[in-house]
Amino acid sequence: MSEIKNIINGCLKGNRRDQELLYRRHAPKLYAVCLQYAGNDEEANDILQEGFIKIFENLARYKYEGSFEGWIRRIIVNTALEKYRSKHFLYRVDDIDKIPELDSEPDSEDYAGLEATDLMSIIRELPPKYRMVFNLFAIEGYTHKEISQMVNISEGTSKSNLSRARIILQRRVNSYTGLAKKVINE
Amino acid sequence: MSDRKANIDLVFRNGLKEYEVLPSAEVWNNIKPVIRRKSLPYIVLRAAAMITVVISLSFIAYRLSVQISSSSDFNTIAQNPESESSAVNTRNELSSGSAVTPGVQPAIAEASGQEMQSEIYITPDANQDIIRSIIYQPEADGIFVNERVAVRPDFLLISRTRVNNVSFDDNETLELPSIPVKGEKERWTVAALVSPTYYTNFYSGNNQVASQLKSEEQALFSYSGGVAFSYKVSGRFSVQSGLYYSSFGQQLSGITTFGGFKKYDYTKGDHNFEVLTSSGVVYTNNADVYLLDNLSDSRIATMHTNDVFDPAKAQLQYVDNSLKQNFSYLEVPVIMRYKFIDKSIDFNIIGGLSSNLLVDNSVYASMEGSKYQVGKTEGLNMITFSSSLGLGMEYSFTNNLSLNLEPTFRYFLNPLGQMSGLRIHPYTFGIFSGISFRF
Repeated sequence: MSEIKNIINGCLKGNRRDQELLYRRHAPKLYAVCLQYAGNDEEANDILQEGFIKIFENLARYKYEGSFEGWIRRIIVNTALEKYRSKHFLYRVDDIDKIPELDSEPDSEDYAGLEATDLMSIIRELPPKYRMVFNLFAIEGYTHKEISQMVNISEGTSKSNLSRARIILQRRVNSYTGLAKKVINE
Repeated sequence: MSDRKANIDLVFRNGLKEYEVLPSAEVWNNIKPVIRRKSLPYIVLRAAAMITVVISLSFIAYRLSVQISSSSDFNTIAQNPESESSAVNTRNELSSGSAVTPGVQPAIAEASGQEMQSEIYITPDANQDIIRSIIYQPEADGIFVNERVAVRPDFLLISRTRVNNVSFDDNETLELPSIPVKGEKERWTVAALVSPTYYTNFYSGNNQVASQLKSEEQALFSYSGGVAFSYKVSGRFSVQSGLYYSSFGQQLSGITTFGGFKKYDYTKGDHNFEVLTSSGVVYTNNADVYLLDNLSDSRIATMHTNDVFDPAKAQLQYVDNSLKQNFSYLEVPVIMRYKFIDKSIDFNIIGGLSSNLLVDNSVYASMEGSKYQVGKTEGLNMITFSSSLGLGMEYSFTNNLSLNLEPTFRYFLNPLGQMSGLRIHPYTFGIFSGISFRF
């Protein structure tokens, strides 16, 4: 903790080396978060860049309450959200159709062979509105009520988007693991 | 099925938890100039604010000194006006060039028959109070008749009439009051002064190496203080000496210090690590220390490089992510002071040379407020010489006691240490403040 405290103090004094140290230390994990939310690499780069500028600008507000990683991750997620809102505000549709059921109750054991890069590829194939809700709910742990306020949709839309995202993801995961099993059996 | 327990959620949450992807270098290159641009004005603004405060204080002090001084000068030689004199009369007398100036010594009354240059005013008011004074200013080559009219208790008009080509009768003498010269008898002064100082340096020689080293070094908080004695040689010149203690240094960024290395240190020798700095090479003298450079691979020379020893795997204790290099000196200055404004607040130009004796040299890391000794800087000169230039402001509380404020710039004539191909000249800026006693 004292190490990150020293780096933060250095950043607050405008020390370039500490700023770079902070960036190098946290950028890889945060960039993965950006990729998870962004439609393409260019957008992910933009989110990371804008997010880090906000981190440096708001560093004085970090009060050492809670983990620093969690604090900077929230800034990156909020930046991704702003980016999403600016691009997708025209597509706001509160479409609560009949939600299809999942094909079957999946077993996490089945997915043991999936690599993080595969999961990332699958999640990035989701349509933006499904991807956003899934990320906020399943990965970040926000409630539908919170998501409805953050993304500017109704709670019902948030639930339906999540369900659709899950179905798409499950099918994609099944096809990945099925293909893998087929390759092994052959 | 509960939403929270959806298995597919867990698959993604757990699968991506530790996932890392290296972003392209372009991202940092785009961030860097933005945050630098934002941090630079902050530093510039702070410096500008400091300079503004110093200039404002100097200006206010100067104005104050002029006002106080004028006021005290008038009081010294003011004469009571005669009861029948009035403002209207005075205006008439002056404008007509007549020889009548009530309340003035005979010699002046006669002199006023010569050419007169009159400035100003006068508000006829029966209740106004007129104070007439005469000022003889040899350097201005003339005699001035001043009239101060208190129109209201808080409002004062001043008229000054200059009498040129004064000729006196041989038999008559002009009685001028004697003005006491401040501090005429007190030639010695002792002062206690202290200052926070800003330390930095510039280099000549192999610029590439120096520039790289300097970019990884930042000035630490420094201070200086001591006792000064001065002897007044003449009315305006003084010679000053004394004994000062100065402590300054720099922070070496990006070098992480770990403790607990002793049990892994199987080598024999004086030191395990050498760190190249702009002030000399730091040799570690604490065998328990392990140093790791996160920013450059050319600053630290060691057998225990990161590719043969991993401090994280060895579970060494993290101490700090920068080293602090500190130097302390005893300074004996020889300084000349020239008083260019001699009012109730005096202004002096200060300049001179100092010899500085190195008394402490340490390199340490900080751990929760305490110092963790790392080593020393080798090759430092035991004696260095510096020049200084400053502005001294002195406000007298009493005849003997004064408050001093002295913004001072100090430049080291020779480098702190010997480095082949490098000549690094430190300089400091400080605002000394303290109290002086004349005797």
